[in-house]
Amino acid sequence: MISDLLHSLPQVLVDGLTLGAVYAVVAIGYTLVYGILELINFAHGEIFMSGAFIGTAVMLMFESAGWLGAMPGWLAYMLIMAAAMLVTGLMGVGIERVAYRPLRSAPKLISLISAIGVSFFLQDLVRFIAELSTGSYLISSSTLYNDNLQLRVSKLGGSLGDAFLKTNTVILIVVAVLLMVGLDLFVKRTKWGIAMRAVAQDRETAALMSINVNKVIALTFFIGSALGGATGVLFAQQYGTVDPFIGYVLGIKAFTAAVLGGIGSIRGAMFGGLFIGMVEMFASANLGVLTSGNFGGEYKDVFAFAILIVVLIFKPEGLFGKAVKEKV
Amino acid sequence: MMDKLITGLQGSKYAQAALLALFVALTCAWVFLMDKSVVAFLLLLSSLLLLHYTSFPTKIKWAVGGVMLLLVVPFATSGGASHEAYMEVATQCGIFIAMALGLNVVVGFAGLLDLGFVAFFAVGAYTYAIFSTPQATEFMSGGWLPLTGSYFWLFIFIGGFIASLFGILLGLPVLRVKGDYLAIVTLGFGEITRIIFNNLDKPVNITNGALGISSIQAPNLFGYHFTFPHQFYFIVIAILALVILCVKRLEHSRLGRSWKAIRDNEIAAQSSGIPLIRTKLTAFAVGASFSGMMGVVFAAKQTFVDPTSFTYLESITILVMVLLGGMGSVPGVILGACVITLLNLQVLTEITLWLNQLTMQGIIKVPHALSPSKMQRFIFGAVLILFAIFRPNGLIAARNRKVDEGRLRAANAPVSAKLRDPSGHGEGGSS
Amino acid sequence: MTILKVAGLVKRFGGVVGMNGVDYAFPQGAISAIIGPNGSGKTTFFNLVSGIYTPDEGNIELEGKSIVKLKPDRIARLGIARTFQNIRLFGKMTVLENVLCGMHLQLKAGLFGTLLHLPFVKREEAGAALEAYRLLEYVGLAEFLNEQADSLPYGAQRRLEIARAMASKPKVLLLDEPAAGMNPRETLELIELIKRIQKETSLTILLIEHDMRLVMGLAERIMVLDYGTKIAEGTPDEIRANPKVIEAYLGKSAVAKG
Repeated sequence: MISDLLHSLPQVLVDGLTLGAVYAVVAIGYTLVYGILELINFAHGEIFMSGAFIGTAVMLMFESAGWLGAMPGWLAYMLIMAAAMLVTGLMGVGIERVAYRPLRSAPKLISLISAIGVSFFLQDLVRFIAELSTGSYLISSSTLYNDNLQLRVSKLGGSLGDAFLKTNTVILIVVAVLLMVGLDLFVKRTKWGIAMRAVAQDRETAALMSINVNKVIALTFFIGSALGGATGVLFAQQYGTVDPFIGYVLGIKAFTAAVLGGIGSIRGAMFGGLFIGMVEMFASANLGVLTSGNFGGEYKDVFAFAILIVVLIFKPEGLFGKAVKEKV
Repeated sequence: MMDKLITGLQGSKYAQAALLALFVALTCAWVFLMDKSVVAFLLLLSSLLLLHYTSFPTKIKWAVGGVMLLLVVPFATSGGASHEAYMEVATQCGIFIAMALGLNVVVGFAGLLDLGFVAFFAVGAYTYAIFSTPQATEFMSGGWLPLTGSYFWLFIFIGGFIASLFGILLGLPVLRVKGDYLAIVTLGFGEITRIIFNNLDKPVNITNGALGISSIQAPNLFGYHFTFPHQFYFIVIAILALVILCVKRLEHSRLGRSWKAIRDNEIAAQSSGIPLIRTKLTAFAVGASFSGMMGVVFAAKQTFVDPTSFTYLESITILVMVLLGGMGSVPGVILGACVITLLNLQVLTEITLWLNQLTMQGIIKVPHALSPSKMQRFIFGAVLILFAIFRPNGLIAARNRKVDEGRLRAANAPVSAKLRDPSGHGEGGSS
Repeated sequence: MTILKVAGLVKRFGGVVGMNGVDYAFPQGAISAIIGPNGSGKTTFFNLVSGIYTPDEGNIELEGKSIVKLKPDRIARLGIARTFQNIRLFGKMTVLENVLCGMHLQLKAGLFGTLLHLPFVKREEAGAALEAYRLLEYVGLAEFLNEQADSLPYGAQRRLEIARAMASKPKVLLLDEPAAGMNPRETLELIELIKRIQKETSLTILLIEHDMRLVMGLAERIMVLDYGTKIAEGTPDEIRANPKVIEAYLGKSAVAKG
């Protein structure tokens, strides 16, 4: 049994890292918004999904226009990312303006319901557009950098097996890391980043310091959503096929990652994402082996949810967050 | 002119009664004579809404409503071939009303956002499905299995009970979680429940996995079998009456007040001596039990259950019913559940059929993607956003019960006089 | 006789010490005031006594029995009721229902009694409504009984909180800045109300207040907090003359006056 586990370990690590990077960047979107509005932005999973669709759409457009061969792959990749980030960023700003801002002083329950509404609305909206333009809501496109690589881990000895991946996997992980580092620097070093943190900590005092709170919140939504959209592109490039419902479960898992790391904490979200990705891939590869076939990989989602529940009950402030107490 | 008419109507109960009777008679005749008319059926049902707005005493309203549901509606729809179709829709409405009332206890009264509510419905449905089919013999032995349809009646309560137990088990950990996290945790639990039902065909086959359980026994009352929607309709009406009675009694009771107190201010509620976890658990258990009971009926009616009936979309559908109707408002939630169920089952399909016809005749061209029957997410999403922003109290806002001040003052007068006189000083006291 | 005693009470929030070893014994049946500058730990003290915070060290005894680590609802059951500085009413319920919620511990109806509509439940509800009405009359809110609580004017909301707290028939009543935001006339009425409550019910009242007129006019004993530490205690006259208090709290103008 151990040798089975070891054999699949390199592949599990590679897959876990890939998925974990996706979760981590999406988790940052949740954490940014929650940090500033204390609202679970249920629509964030759908922003990610929209990013994936926009990326795919631009890709298909390039293809049909015959530009794909004419420009270098990296340029196409960057253009696609930029388009998706811009559109999803603006979507985020729009959603905040339309569905959340009017409810800022309403009971939390009502804003949550509005957020769920946005999430549902977007799922069908994207489905309409996809189905109207291609006839199906399942959309595939050709992907860049999909040549196969093999990590010959088995040469290291033992019973370790080889891991297979695509060039795009490497790109995905590198871009995800770059996005996260860039965000971390932005939040820590720039004027706007500092304003964001100020508003997250105390909105009223920040307003007194002549920070334009609405602008900062809009900016937060733009950045969080653009990150989500960019991850959508990475995801679509990695897996090739997208549908309007990929955002829902992925969103919950990314949220779990954010909670695990400590909501409001950017580095926590990175750690949480990687952890959830690894656990999920490990469970999906090994659960059957470990339980002699009684419980298979189909229970992998249960793990993410179970982690979510356990963390919220026993350590609701997460691993890197600070406990907050309601003011009485 | 119009104003005068309206004030005249508001003043005279006879005029109201006459108008209502006329309306019912007309819509009845229409439903009876037409083979299938969605519009007529909707109008007939909306007479119950009119009834709600009349100024008769509550008891009379209930009595008239009962007669309408037990006699008028079944009779009016029996005219044509669509009898069973109408009754099916009405039965579904009843099932969803009970579930929405259950969720209303949790969300509307206690203020706990539960996004996995359909899990309790699933528990009820599977409870009956497993024991009324050979499925139970997969993991239990006993000559008494499978149970016959005459156990259905018992199972309505067992299903409700198991669902409420499940609600408590689930609530024990979940309710420690702070308000807005609760939503996502319940969502997680809803998904876990579905995944487990979907995969629990091994190591021990309890739910038969994704294949579902089929050939569920029809209810049997002294040899009379319930198989058609028009028969289930009466079962559903009976359970619904029970559910509404329970909700009405709880709403303004000590327990109901505790729920609302927790909803309005948790810390103040606790400082008033209201135990948080226990009170929230009761809300979960009561809400879940309504769902569980209807789950049993659903399983028996469909004669088949599988995990696809219990998805996140269903949970949100129930939430939409509650928000649309009015959180915390019993008549509102009933209306919301009816509107959404009718929209789902009747209106959207009718419009789709109509659009398809137009497309076939080449008048307009509606692409398949925009077929209204697939637009639930779009519509529900829009309803959730719009109502949250513009009408958070729903179609019929919850109203507080007003007490009769005169009666209290009269009852109080002799006592307060006694209380004050010996002490010798009145309102102001000393200075 | 002492009804409520705290000993060595410590509460830390992260690095900040909110309450630093406070000892005090509150005499039964008296009105005691807790005063101190903003952020001196007055509300923290109430939150510790009413169980909303758990102390890190020290003990709180009600009638000789420790109530440390009990949940707020258990403490309410033992006889401590409170109001809140930032008003915490059940906003969407009626004024009468707010008081009925306060009577929660007095009532017995459970889930099944309610569902079965047992005769005792009906009697209990009728009696409770009457008693709640009397309480509202007592605090002068009877005319508002059917209004939604969050629609009341500010001063009335404060009085409703008092009525709700009294509805649990407490032994100790904690009033957290009951006069905050009130105009002078309302404050005078409030002073009368508190005096009347204490005279007619012989309830022990603990009071946090900034309005010195109110404190000096009502309290028999005063405890002064500063940075979570007790810096003085005594009668109003003693406190007025205490140099430490004058320095920490009342300031130079008070020295000139006094």
